[in-house]
Amino acid sequence: MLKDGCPQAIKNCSGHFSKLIDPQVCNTLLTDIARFLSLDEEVDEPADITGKRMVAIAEGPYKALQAYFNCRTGIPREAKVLNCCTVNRLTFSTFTRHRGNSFILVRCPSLSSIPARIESILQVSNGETYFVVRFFLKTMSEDPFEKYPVLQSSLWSQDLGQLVIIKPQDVESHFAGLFFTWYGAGCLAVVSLSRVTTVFSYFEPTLTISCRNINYHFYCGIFL
Amino acid sequence: MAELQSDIENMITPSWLTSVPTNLGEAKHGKLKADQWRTLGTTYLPISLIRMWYQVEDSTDQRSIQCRKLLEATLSLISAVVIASSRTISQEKTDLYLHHMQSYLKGLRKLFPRYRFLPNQHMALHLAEYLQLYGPVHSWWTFPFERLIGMLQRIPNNFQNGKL
Repeated sequence: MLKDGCPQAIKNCSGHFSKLIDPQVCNTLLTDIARFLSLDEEVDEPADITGKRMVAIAEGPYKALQAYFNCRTGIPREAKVLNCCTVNRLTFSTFTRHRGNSFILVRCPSLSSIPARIESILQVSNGETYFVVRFFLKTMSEDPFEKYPVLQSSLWSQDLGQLVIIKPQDVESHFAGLFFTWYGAGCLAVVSLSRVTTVFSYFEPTLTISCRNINYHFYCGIFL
Repeated sequence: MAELQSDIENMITPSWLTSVPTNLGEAKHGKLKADQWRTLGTTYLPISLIRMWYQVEDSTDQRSIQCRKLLEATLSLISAVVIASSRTISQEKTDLYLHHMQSYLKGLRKLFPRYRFLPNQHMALHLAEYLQLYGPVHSWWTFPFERLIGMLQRIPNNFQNGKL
């Protein structure tokens, strides 16, 4: 509509076109549009940095930062504590702010993504943003979703691991989760909301891999 | 149905996900839109149906066996939908889409021998070709246009067409 030669009738409808991409509307189609638009953008601004002061990082997140930086020197002592952060036009919040926006799948090298929840969001003095998360632990119960890999769903324990630091770039997508009881154990069913389907072409016996001090059992496969 | 409604209410989802009526199945919420059907099928139904129908405690219980077969057929359909609405596509994925769609239709035929298939179900078998030819559906489906047309139709024009 901003280009020369755009018919006046179309320009008169600018309000309606704006509605089409209104970020306040909950709609997957709009999320699709937003994700494509974000490909042209380089910087993602945290959503609520205005007026935030640098404060001392609490002990738990600080220990997690030490582990993340491998105990090197120069670990930040202070940070802005944010309630939410926007990455690729998607809002990620702390668990206390919005449970659904805090549930994320974290990319893990050579493994399927691991569900986690965001406990806090830190922005350090150099502008870097870190998510302080807790990973959900793998359940001991049989996972009925393993039989249906295309559904991108899996069963996890309701128990959470220790605090871990991740970068926003490590986040694959949000997930939808439902807590329920499965064979007498409290479980969390996780459905990936990534719209990029990963398909496995065949299955081999289960493989156990240790990542971030947690043992995970996975099926091997070939990405298509 | 009550269990499904309860799951919809208790599911934790991000704020951007298309909402699905918690009173699903009641006339009050009106017709679902295509995206609501997709979200219901790919996000809510797999968990609820597996939770309710996956376990067959008694192998002689005909209802449990029938529910399990229905689950397999439904999950084949959902798998096909997930692949078809993926943002990336490949030859392997289109083959897998066709495999799941055929499994769904075969399952339907076995479960309901008297069921008369509809033209849409036939057309769904051809979608694999279009995915191969044109790529991910986002680049050629008509939902953005339908949405815009819907908004344009709601503009009050006092029946003065052509004088916007």
